[in-house]
Amino acid sequence: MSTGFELRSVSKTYDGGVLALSQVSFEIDARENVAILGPSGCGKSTVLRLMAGLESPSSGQILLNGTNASEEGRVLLPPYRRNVTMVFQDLALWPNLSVLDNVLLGIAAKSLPRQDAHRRAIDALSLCKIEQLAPRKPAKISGGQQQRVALARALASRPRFLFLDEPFSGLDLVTKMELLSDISRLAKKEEITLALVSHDPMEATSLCQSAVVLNNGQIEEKGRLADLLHEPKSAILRVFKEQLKDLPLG
Amino acid sequence: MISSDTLEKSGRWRSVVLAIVFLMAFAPAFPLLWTTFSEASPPAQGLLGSGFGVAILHSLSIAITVAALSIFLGVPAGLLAALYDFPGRRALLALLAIPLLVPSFLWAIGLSQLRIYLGLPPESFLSGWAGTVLAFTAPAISLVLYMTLLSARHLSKNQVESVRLVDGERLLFRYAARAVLPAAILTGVLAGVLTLSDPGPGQILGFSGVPYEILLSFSALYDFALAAKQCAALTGAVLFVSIPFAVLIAPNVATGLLGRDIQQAPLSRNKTASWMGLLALGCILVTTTVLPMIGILRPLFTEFPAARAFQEVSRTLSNTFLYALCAGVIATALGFFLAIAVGRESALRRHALIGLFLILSLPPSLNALGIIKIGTMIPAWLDPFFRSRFTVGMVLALRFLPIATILAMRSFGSTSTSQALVAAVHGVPLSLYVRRVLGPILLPSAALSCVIVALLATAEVGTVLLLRPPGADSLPVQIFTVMANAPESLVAALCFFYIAGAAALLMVGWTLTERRRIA
Amino acid sequence: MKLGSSQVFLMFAFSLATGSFAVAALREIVVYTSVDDVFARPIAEQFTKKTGIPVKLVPDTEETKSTGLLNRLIAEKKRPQADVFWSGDPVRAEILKSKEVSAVYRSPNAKGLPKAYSDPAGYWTGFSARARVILYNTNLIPKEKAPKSILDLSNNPEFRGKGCIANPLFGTTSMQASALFVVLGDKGGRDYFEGLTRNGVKMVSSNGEVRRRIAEGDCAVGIADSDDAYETMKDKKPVAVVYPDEKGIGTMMIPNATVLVAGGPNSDGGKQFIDYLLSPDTERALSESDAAQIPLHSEVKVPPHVRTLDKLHPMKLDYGKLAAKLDELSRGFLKDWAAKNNR
Repeated sequence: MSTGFELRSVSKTYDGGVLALSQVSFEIDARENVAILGPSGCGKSTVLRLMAGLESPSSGQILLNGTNASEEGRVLLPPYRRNVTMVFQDLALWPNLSVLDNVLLGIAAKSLPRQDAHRRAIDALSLCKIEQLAPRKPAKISGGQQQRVALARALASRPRFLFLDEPFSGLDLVTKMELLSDISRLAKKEEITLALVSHDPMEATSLCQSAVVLNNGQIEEKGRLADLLHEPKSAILRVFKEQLKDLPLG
Repeated sequence: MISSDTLEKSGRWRSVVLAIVFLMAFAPAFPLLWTTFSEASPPAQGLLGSGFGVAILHSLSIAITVAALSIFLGVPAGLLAALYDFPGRRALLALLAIPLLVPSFLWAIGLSQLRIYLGLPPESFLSGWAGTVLAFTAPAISLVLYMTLLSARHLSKNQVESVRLVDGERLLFRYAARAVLPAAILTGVLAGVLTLSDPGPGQILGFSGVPYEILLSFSALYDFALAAKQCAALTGAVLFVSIPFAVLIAPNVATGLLGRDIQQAPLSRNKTASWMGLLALGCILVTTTVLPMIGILRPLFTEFPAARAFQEVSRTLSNTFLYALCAGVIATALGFFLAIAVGRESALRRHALIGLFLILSLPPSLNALGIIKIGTMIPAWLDPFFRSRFTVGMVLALRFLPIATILAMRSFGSTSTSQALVAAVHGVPLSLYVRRVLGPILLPSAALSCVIVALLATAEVGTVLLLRPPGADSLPVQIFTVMANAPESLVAALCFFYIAGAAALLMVGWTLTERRRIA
Repeated sequence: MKLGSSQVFLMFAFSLATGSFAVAALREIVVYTSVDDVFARPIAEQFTKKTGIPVKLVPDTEETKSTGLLNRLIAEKKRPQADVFWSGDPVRAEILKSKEVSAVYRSPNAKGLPKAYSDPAGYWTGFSARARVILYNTNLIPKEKAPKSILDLSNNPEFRGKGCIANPLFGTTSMQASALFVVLGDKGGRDYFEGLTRNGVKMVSSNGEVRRRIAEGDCAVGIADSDDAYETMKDKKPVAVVYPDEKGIGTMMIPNATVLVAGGPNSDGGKQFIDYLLSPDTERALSESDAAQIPLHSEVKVPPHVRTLDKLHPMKLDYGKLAAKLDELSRGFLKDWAAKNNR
């Protein structure tokens, strides 16, 4: 039995007839991190939402570990049974709760004894180097720190898959690189498979081994990221490769 | 387990909730409307050729002017209060709630008295069309101002600061205005529609429209069927005007906020803007509140029968509170329920807006008499629901449901979609999410909605007059029933206690919430 | 249907919370009244003091023209909450009779009351009356020039542009309008109202507004109820009263009227309350109050400022006919007249 996600001819049309995805098929192996790349509006985030079970496909099928998780118009396996967590582009922190409570509510469904839940939340905050922020409200901390809170909340539930929906946009380069390296380290340590949605190939190369490049709701190319960069077909990877070449690195 | 993302997903439950709430809101009017349409006479009989068409035009002219004025004045003033700090800001904002809680007929009498006191001729701006507009505009401006304030306070610090950096205060003002306009316009229009069913000011100040015609049918002819026909015709006119409006405005009523933008913009201290804010709020307060109040309270300068007035106040205080509280809580609960059911879907929002316009256009007496009729058909053990103080609160709540719903739509629309989605991914059940996150986030708006509806409900005398159980008068009803023959100083003293008490409560409430917010 | 104990408890708690447990107090009497609260309440309290029976008063007013208690009574007809309707005028009582809301009751205390002020069929009984009077501002009109007849407002050029009356579609003004059509005939009635327009008489919203305007000098003269007039004088406003038409058509009297509501929850109590209202004691109390009402029992002693019936020249009217006439006028002539004069 294959482990991971498999999308079979998945299409998604939103109300008003907007076609977000058209006949998309690919697999995500649970052993390697995948980047879903492409320009704005190409359907990247839709793929994540479909895999997370937050939306149902208009046609096609999504399998998780070989079993049918979603099919046309139906979500068969609800999000919380998919062993997935997600960091949204806008982070979606709960503004009325403290940093610690954000993490604790994230694991509330696990029905852990109170002390265990507390310990696990503190552990997640320490992993993300923000345990000292525990009592603060999200509005009172910086953008980079907010990102770490979202990450800690996601990690605390010890998911098998962590979906990252462009969470690094708006961060300065130093903070972004720090975060990328921390996430990479944590994913390895906790044995979490990452699915990263981004339009920045640099983020992808820092975290992922394989990639799916979308354009206009269709797959433009897919495979191991190193292979794709070797002979890129999509505009996004071509430009990235050119940039790497032009860097004045001596 | 119901998942938290139910809140953000489309589903049949949304239409069902909409249908149930609107059915509830319109149910009291059914018995009388049914009489009209089940009668042998053609539905148009009694309407055509009786000046009803002219009355509709008169009423629409008042409604449109009130809506336009309230938006034109309420939005800038609300924005100044939302973006800038200035001395007396809190007090002025609290005092501006007074027009919401004073029954419209009292305001009209105040203006009429003031005109006489100033020695102005009957054709002056304090009577006729202009006076009626002024009497109705007072609460309408306050409503729009509060909605603007609430909407603008939802702008995040990031949004405000980035606009301010680009081109300073002027651009910020324009940007904020664009953000608040849909909700503010909607509130202004609702306030305009509200005038269509209130006969008081027009009659006192000498300008008759549809409400006067309906009142004639009810109170001079005792012809319920004709009154119901007229209500139906008015409803049709409102429908005709409101559909295109609802279609245009529905998508923009609430623009969602990003989950990242969770820091509220602090009030800024800009000298010019602060002065303008002080001036704008001050002028509005003087024109809409102080002037009519002088008219009402003037007799107190010669005599102040405090003891007798206090006796009346203490007799009616508990009922006044109970009706207001009941109306505020029920309307707010239903309003938020409705707003969450409507969610972020434009089509549902459109339907809801049309329904809300219709609720406001129905005269309160139609609903009240409908409830009385229902009360005669039910067995006695159901009296607690249909013939009690609770009934009064419930009918008042249904009347002001539109106001609560607009506040709720605005408030729910300003939450981030992904907050519910992330809860769903984490398996947080809907009930827990509502209790821990959504509820507390919406709580301030819900409290404000509760207060505004309570104020409006307190001022709505017609419903209480018809539905109050024997011996359960409210203070405004008491003022209403004694004002014809009691000494004018007693009436003035009652008004004084009523307004002063409510203003004091408002000031305390406002100060506490602001302190809590700052803390 | 059987209710569980928790349901019973919930109903009980809800009833307490909503105050709807009034039904439990069996002997209580519910009185709807269009008489002003300030006058009706002391009478009800006095009744309770005497008999020990609590009275729940539901007052209304003519001011600002609510949709009012009469509509509530009509709407509640099938299962009324009220036992008695204490009307401020006989027209409303007559309307209730025509809508089959009232029941016949001939009180033993009605014996000394003049028959002209009661329904011969017994559906309502009249007692203490008010009069429709001319109220004028003494700063603007000297006593010797004050009008003597209500017709002066319509046809005397001396009062051109100085007069005001309440909207004749509502309250006691409507009753007076229909009385004028009965007494003067249809043509006479129309001429009167058209004369008012020609003579620049302003129509205002209510009798209360009439007295306020005259008191403040915004209007020099108008027609009001005698209780409004007395209240204004007590407020030390520069006003005086004329009981009009002492030589012609007579002063119009507006008796109070008691109505027993058919099928009310406590009819026996209701009858007891009606007996009390019709007693000379109540008439005396109403004449001594600020309502300054005129007793119909001839033996009742009145304070000096109250006129007795024998010192007046009351208009001769069949009160039973007024309601039907008013209905006709409200749909036709008066409605048009009010529409033209409403500004």
